[in-house]
Amino acid sequence: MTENPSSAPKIRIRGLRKAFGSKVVLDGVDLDVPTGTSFVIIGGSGSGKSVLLRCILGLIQPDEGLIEIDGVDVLRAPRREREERIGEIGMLFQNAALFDSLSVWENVAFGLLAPEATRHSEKHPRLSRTEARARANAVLEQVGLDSSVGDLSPSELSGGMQKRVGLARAIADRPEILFFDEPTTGLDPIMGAVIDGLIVDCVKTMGSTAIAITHDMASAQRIGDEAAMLYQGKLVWQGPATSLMHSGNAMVDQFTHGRREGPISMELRR
Amino acid sequence: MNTLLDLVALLGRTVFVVTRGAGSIGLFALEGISCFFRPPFYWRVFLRSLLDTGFLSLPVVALTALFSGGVIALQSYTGFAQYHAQSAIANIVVLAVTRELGPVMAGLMVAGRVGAAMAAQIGTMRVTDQIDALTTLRTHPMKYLVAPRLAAGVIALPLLVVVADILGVAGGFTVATVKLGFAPDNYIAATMNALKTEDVMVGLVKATVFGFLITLMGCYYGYTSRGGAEGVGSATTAAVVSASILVLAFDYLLTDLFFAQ
Repeated sequence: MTENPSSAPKIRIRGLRKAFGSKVVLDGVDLDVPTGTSFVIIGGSGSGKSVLLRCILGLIQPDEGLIEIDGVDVLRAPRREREERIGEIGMLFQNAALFDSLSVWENVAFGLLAPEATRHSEKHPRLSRTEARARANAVLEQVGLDSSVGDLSPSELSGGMQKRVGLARAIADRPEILFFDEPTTGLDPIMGAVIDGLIVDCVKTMGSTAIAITHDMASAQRIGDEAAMLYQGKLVWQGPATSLMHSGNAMVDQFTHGRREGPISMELRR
Repeated sequence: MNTLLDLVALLGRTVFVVTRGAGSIGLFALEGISCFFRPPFYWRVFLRSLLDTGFLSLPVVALTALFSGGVIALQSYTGFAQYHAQSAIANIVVLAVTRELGPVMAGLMVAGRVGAAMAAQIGTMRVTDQIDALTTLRTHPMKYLVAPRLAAGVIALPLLVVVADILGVAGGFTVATVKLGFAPDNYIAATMNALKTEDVMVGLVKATVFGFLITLMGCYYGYTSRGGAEGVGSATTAAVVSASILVLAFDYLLTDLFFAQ
C-alpha cells in the first residue's frame, strides 16, 4: 500500500522490539508522530520510554522493527543519510547532560561549531566562534537566561538553569524534531511550569515535531497535543493529551491518578 | 569430581573473560587509531590533553627521576665498592636511567596521574549521558574524546622521558659529587662516554608505546564504565592498575626485542 506523502508522519515506528538479556523492554511498539505535533509518552519507571527515544536517536540498536524519519528507514539507510536524518533531532536529556569542561555558551554553541563532515549544510551552516557566540546569547535569552550566564561553568548553575541551558543547546540549531527526556524531573512545580512553557514556546515558534517522555501529568498536559502510554514494552493507549486524566482506560487512569489498586501491579522485585 | 569440574569451569570462564576483554580493548584501540586518519581532528581537545598529560606531569616526573638517579648512584656505590669498581657508577646511572628508569618511572607516574584522570573524566561523561549528548550533537565520541588523548599520550611521554633522562643523570651526578666525593669533571666525562644515542632512542620508543597504552587504558575503562559513581571508581582503578601492569610488561618485551642478543 502506498501512503500519501503529505499525510506521512514525521516519525513512524513499526514493530519495534528491544530486549536486554531476558528482559524485554520494547515489545512491538507501533507509533506515528505527525509533523508539527507535540507528542507525550507516559509510563512507569522501566517501561521503556527512554529506550524508545534512544532507539530513534541511534544510541541503542533495536532487535527488530522499523523506524522512519521523513520516510527514511534510519535503521537500514546508508550511514550518511541516517546521520542527516538523526541530525535533525535536538535532545534535552533528563539531567541536562551539559559538558562540564566547557562554559555555558560553548555548551549551547557546541552543535553550531561541530566540524563533523555530515553536520553542516545550507540549512545548518558552520558558524565562526564569534557568530556561534552571538547565536548562543540569543538562544540563552530565548530560554530566559541573561547572556552573562554564558561565561559561567555548568556547575555554577542551579538545576532549573541547567535545564534551560540544555533546552537552549537542543534548539540552538533549529532542529525539525525535538526530544525531551523527563524535562521537569527534579524541579520544583513553578520551575517545572516555566520549563514546560519554554518547551511549548520553542516547539510552536520553530514548528518542530516533539516527543516528550514524562511521569509528570501536569507537564504532560501542558506540553502535549497527543499522548500515549507505554506499559510492559507496549503502547496500551493513545489519545489527546487533554484527556489524560479521564481517558477511560483503566491502566492510564490508575497511572495518571496515582492509585495503588488497578490493573498495573508494581514489580517490587524481578 | 565436582570440585575438578568446578575448577575447569572457573578456568574456562577466566579464559573467556580475559579473551573477551583483550578483544574488546583491541577493537577499541583500532577504532581510536582509525580516528587519527578520519577527519575532523579536534585540535583544541588535543592541545588541552597535551597540556594535562605533558606539562602538568612535569613536576612529578622530574622529582621521581631526580631521586631515582640519586638512589641508583648511591646503591651502585655501596655494591661496587666491594670490588673497587666505583668508577663504573656514571656508566650504571646513564645506562639505567636512559634505558629503564626514565621511561618506566615516567610511565608509572603518568599512569597514576593521567590514566586515572582520563578514566574518571570520560567515565563521568558516560554515566551522566554526556557521551550520548555528543552523539546527538553530531560529534563522534571516539574522535572527540579518544583520538586526541591517544595522540597527546604518544607525543607527551617521549618529551617527559627526555626531561626524566636529564634529571635522572643530574640526580646521580649530584649524589656522586656531593655525597660520594667524585670529581665533577671526571664524572661528567664518564657520563658522556657512557651515553649512547641508541639507548636514548630505545627509551623514547618505549615512552611512545607507554604513552599509547596509558591513554588507551584511561579512555577504554572510562568509555565503557557503567553504574554511577561506583562504576566510575572501578573504571579509574582498573585503568591505573592495567596501565601500570602493561607498562612493566611491555618494558620487558621491548627490552627483550632491542637488547637481548
